[in-house]
Amino acid sequence: MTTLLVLLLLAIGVYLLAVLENWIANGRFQLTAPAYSAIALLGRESVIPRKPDLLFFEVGPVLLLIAALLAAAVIPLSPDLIIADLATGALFLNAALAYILVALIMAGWGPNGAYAMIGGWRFLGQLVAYAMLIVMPITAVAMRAESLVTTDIVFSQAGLWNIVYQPLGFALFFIAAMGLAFLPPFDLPTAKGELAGGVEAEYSGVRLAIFRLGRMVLIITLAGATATFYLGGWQGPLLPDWIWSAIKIMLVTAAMLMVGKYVPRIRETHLLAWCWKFGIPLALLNIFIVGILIVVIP
Amino acid sequence: MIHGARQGSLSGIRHFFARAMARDLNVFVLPGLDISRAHGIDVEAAGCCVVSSPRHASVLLIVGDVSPAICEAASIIYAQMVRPRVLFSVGAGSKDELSPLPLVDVAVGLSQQDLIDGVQQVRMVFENSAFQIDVKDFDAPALHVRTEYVCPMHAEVVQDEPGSCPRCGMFLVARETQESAAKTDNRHNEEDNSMKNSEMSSHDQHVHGETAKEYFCPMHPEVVQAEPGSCPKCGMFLEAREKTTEARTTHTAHAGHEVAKEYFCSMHPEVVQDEPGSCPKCGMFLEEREKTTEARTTHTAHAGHETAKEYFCSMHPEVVQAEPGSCPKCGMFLEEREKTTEAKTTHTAHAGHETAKEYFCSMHPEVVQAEPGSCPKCGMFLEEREKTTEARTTHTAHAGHDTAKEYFCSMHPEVVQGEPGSCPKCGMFLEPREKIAEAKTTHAAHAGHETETEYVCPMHPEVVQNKPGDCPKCGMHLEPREKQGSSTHDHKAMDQDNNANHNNHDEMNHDENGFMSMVDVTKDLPRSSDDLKMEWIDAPFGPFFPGLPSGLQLTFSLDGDTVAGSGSSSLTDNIPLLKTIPMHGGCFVKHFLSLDPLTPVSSQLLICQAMENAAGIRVDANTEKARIGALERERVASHLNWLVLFAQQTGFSWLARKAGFLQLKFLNADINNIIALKLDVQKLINRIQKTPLLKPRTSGIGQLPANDDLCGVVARASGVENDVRSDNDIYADLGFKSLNRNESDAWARMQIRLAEMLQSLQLIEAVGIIEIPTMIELDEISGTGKSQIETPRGKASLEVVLEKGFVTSATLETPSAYHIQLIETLTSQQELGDALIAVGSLDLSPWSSHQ
Repeated sequence: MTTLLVLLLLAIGVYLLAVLENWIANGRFQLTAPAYSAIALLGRESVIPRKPDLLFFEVGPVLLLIAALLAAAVIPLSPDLIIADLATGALFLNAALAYILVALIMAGWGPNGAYAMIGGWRFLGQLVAYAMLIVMPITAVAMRAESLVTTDIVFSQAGLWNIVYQPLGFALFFIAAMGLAFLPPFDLPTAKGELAGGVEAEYSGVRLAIFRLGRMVLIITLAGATATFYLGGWQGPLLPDWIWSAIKIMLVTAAMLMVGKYVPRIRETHLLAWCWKFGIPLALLNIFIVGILIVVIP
Repeated sequence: MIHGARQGSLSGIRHFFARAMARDLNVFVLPGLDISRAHGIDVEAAGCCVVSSPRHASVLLIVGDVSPAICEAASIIYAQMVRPRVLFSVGAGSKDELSPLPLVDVAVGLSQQDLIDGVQQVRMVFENSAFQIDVKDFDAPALHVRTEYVCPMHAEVVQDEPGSCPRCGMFLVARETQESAAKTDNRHNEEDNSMKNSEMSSHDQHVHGETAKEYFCPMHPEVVQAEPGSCPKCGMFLEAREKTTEARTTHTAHAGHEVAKEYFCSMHPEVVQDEPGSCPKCGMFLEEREKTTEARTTHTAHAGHETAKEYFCSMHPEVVQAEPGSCPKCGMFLEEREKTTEAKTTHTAHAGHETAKEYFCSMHPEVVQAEPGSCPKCGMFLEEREKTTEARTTHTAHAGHDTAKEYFCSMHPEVVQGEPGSCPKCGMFLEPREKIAEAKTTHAAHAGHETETEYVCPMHPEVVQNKPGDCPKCGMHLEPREKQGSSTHDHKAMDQDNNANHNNHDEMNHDENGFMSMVDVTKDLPRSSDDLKMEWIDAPFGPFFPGLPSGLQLTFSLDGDTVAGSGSSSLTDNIPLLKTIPMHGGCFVKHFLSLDPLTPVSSQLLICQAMENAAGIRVDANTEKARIGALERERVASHLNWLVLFAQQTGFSWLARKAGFLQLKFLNADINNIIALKLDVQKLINRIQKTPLLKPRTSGIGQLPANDDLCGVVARASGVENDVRSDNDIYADLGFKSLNRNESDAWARMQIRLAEMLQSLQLIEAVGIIEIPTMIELDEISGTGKSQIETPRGKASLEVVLEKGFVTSATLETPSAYHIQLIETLTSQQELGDALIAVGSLDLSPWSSHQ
């Protein structure tokens, strides 16, 4: 029952994300556009390229969707509204998100095309950049909560949200989350200008619908993770807790979408260099600072 | 919508789908958004969503007049679109004018209002005919491709399956050809002269394509049949050639039997045979000569006598019989000779067979096995020989891999390789020797570590590596050359591989599960600049690639994601300036103006000035000022258009929208609007300068050395003072100063363009009037007219010769004609994204890049 409710809220969130994306990209606010888009996609042909690696081609988008849903299973929308309240929730989130890479590599390799393949390999490089920057801030957050359970992490922010307590961790996690969801300016695997759509280009019809749905669930999940870890989850005055969750998640999503509009795509070499030379030392510094704060502040 | 509909009946849920599709229009714009904006059409404002991949598109929108070349490329795009798909033409013709594309579904004129009306019609088309019961398949000649495999050196070697060339051992390269109709063969033009082999280089009959083909055996030219297959005599794959009746006289190695010829070995003159092939003693290709009787004295193999004859097989001399027939071992016809008793020692090469035998292929001497059979590479029957070790000294095929040996050609000592084989230059079997460290004569290919040599493929000069090996693209052995500008290489890393120059798959290190590590798979591949060995792909980028100028056809050879080689051409510039000679003046003007839709005002100004110059007319200062106003306005619009392309390439969506919006405003703005828009442009530029990540993205990318042949923004960004306007008095009066920078990279070029936009706006304000130049009357004018203007992309110059109103000759020089040749150096060894930005920073116009 809670599962269905959470999935329903997730679906509504995904729909709102589509509306938001259309609004930010095109300046048009149309509430019905995503519905028409989805139905039209289902009605179109789904073309298979010549000589694909059929297993990878078919599995790629599906795995993207499944991995994103698995990661969404541990995000709490309220103390009761969580699909799977695992004892290792925060760690499980990271483990599920690791399969996003596998899905994109499959989607890159499967179509047997140059653009898709280069997109896939670029995402592999991106993983090397963002992977540590996802895990280390989660470590710092879990340190404060003294538990990996996501609901406990939210409870631990009752006095002060983590965004104020660990702003460095927040900044790094936010950037790494955008990298994981390959949102601009980190949209290297699906670069429109360089790879004509890259990983996404060879899919059409139903498969494209699944790919896009998976990507949107991923964005919502990562926004949910940001809200859970840093913005106090469901906590807030007056309104019921799941509404607060929803508001925070949509705000984080909007922020993620807006950033990319105003900056050009990052170079792969710079992404890797900066994340490893600056990002990881900063993340370690963040853990160190949080450790001191935990000892000092009762 | 016969071709574009999806199969099915429009009922129930499909009706639902059709209505959704009518509301969700995904458009792929042809030739490109930059052209449509240059025409003043804003596709996004009409309610369409523009996509970058044809597979995501449901509407193919063609804007403006398109040439047949574009239509042909468009047919491939149309075929990739998913059904239901609509062909929508805006000012490009209607009905079947866009063949080979199908019938146009919706056709409107070339204006924004027409576009909006057209979009409504497109929606109706989707709603009413997205699904149809009877649908025809879309077929176009450009889609009929068939993969055949051809040797890059011998264009007549064509097969339907992959393999190696029987002549030189190179990998056959896949090529897609039309199934019918004559198509010029690119391979002919690519014949590389560095493989200096006189016997081989003369094979230049092109044998595939237009006329009927026949297939013949290179060793037995009398074997001819109409379909491909194997020679019944020796088993080799038949080669294709045109059906001709006249004898091929010259040195083709398949000369035919009309003239009595024989083939002898230049090193072993006693080896003579009637058919071409390899010398059994040394493996060299036999040379041809006429059959003479006195030449027979020393080397009779076919003396032709009336006396008692016997018949023997030239490949298996032990096979002798009294009647003519076929050799039971290899199927060849037996040859005649006098009954002689002395042992035919000189020309048998297979003299004694009492000892252990082995079977080898005369074309591929490394193929050796213990039983008779066919050569896996070319299909020939294997020849027999003794298993002797001393016989190996001159022509070993398999000296073994135990000690560190290398194999060199005694006639061409620089040809050295790690395993036995034939010399690619003369075909001789390579001789073995120990690998010695001290310099092996003048150009030992293995001296690599002591002297600075690198190994390069003669056909693909971009393939360079530090050790000998094979080219990953064509399989040829890399040739050594001295390194110019040496760099220290890591000897330790290379020495580990000292013995391991094996291309034989079986020699690689497999672990228990049959996997090879990537180190082993990529062992012999050349290294790119980041030292990572990856597979090479040839990927096309264009002609309708998002972010690149439309019509530009780039092909990158990608080594992983590094560009190892590139080729560029334009789809849209092969229209001649003069359609007829002489051409009527008015028609010429119209034709000239239609050539480049990106900068119509510049073209107009160029030709007006040229014609006025020819007529000896001088315009007054006010007209000149008005023309300057128009030219500068177009400069601003063109730079904004470039900014949109740049923004699309780098994923900078805010800039794409803002610059596109401003560009459309500028296109036909009058002087008052422009003064109002100046503030917007200023704000845009300020915002761009403050954008994070933009400078790191473009700084240092697309570096070009300063060169006097550069023009326009590219020149000014590299410190070369090249601006036609500097010499103009009126510009000087207005306070014009040429803008220059030194960095010569994409960042500098962008900065110059931004600064030029502001400068042009100031000039327009100073001039105060804008007027597009008008053409004079051209009847009865004779003379030569030259004109030069600074177009937004650089200096363009036109020279026309008029005779009584008819143009007899015209020459046009455009900036893009030179700049398009820079792509090769600009993109070499760059990462793909950087290479594309570098190309984009040149601001090419594929419409005017005649060379």
